[in-house]
Amino acid sequence: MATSQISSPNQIASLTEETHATDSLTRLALRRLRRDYLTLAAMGVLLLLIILSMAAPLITNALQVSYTDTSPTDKFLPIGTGNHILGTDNLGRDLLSRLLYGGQVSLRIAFFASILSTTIGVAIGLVAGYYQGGPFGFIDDIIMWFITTLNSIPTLMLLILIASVLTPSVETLILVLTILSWTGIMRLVRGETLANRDREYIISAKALGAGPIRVMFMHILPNVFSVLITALAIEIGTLILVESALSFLGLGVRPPTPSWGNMLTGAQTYLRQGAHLAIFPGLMIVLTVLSLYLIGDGVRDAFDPRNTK
Amino acid sequence: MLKFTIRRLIQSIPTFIGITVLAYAIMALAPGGPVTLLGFDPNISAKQRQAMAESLGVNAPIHEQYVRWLIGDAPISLFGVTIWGGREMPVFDRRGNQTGMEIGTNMGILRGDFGKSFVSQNPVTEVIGVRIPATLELGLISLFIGTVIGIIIGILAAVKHGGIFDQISRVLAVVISAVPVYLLGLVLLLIFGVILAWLPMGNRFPLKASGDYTVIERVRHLILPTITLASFSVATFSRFMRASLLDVLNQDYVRTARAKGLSDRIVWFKHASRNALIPIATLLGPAIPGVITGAVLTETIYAWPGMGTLIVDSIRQQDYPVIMGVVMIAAMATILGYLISDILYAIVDPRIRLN
Repeated sequence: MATSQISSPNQIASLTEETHATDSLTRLALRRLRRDYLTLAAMGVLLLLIILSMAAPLITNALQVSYTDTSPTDKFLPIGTGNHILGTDNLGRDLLSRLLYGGQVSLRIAFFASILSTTIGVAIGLVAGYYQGGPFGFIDDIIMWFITTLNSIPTLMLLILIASVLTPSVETLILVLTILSWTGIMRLVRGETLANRDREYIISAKALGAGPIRVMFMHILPNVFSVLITALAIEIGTLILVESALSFLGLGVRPPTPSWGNMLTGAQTYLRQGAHLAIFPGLMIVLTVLSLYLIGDGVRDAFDPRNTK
Repeated sequence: MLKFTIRRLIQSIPTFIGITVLAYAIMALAPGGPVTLLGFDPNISAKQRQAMAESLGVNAPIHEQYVRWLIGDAPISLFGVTIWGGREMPVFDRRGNQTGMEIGTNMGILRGDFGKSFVSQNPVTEVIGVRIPATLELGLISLFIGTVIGIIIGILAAVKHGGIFDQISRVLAVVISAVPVYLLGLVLLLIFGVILAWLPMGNRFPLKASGDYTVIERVRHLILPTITLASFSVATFSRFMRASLLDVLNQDYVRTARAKGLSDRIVWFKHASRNALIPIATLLGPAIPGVITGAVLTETIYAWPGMGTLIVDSIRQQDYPVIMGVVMIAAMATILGYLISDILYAIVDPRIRLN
């Protein structure tokens, strides 16, 4: 917006310098990223959370605790009781191990669903944008009508409706979230395709005999790439929020399988006995989502050709 | 302007039809349904179950069921003239023997009949109607407060952009968008409900035998849910307002106003802010599904007796007519929201309606 507009002659000078430089935009972006400490820190936090979740079996073995064993005598143990570093929950299960295993579930759902929905969104967005307005324009019209319809029902309501008719497992949740979340990326890619498809480089590619598939995937897609990485990071974050909301309502991941969302189910009823039971899963969600949002913003800034840092 | 409104209204018809098809298709996948639910009742024979299914029409092909759900089977008359005689449905006695045929009374959702709740046997419109005031109260107050505070923060951040207030508000906006609504609710409940014990732990009214509550009691119950639900609007509106105002502040007429010697204050608040508010009109539409989604979670945390808690309870009880009713109302509210924001936009920006 206004803040990123070129306003001073100095900025213009440095811009022209950049275009004359031999470095590619990607290399420039990577160099900017290396100096962007906030984004680097976010990447570090996210990586740490992923590694900890993946190492859940090792950690629980080392502490000799289990994420499923209930114990009526060990309910609501405070932080730091024996081997229970973060205490126990309302059924006497070890909180730390549940957090780690819950992380595996939450992260897996969000990562798989966002990668699937991005793939679908990119494919449909390229096709819709490429054919928009032409003799095959009806493809675009149909897709846009479908998206308008889908977006007219609040996503959580639609998810509630679907979750009420099928008992969700981790796999069905991935599928359902994919089906409902490809539209955002699709609109983005469609818009970028529309902006690119009449540029000179596309016309020259066509003149050299490139077919529609080649133009879409070999010429337009690489130019959308940086926008896509940003969108993907933000998408994963949003999906973690959506999955946790659904699981919180008891309609997502079903107990005893832990997820960060369903660990908060009913937390408001035992805030007095164990406030830490609400704080820790919540903190994990916030840390993960915030890291992903910051990474998304950082990548966008790094690839912004108007960025002169 | 009227032409634009009518065109925009007509455009939303295919969307509405699409929503009904989509929602009905999902519902048709449901494993349960009223007949299966009754199947667990040992006092009902197989014959009675069959009769029940016939009279509810659940044995018909799916597209017929959809049309029945949409327009019902009661006669349709317009200005006293019957234009459709309705559909005859079999009638059964209590043992499950067919006693004759009768014209149906189900009006269909297009005539505002969402059927009867499986659980309470009351009309769905009644079941939902009781809950609507609570959701409207919470939703509208939160949206209003969220919008006003968001706009004020946005203006202050933009006029001093780059300053400390701007930086803090931007960081907070990102953090808030990463905090799940229900977590914010839990933390507020923990601080103000449990630790400080200043505010009630939930519900819309205090538990009392008599039905009269003072304004103060009601406000005390509203505070935490409102903050929870409004936080997201504050984050969105403040960022949008900031960007919008920064755009306007760079325009020529603002420079002209300054050059004429007007004070900063008058330029910011009278000239620039008014024009920066225009794009905010487009945000109100998308804000409605946001508020509905937030309301489901906020109501669950605070046991607020609105449509959000209703739909969550209905899912546990497999009360499909009520679930469908709430989903359709939420969808219609969303369509209406987009419609209003488009019309608002066309009012303030004539280029839109001429296109």
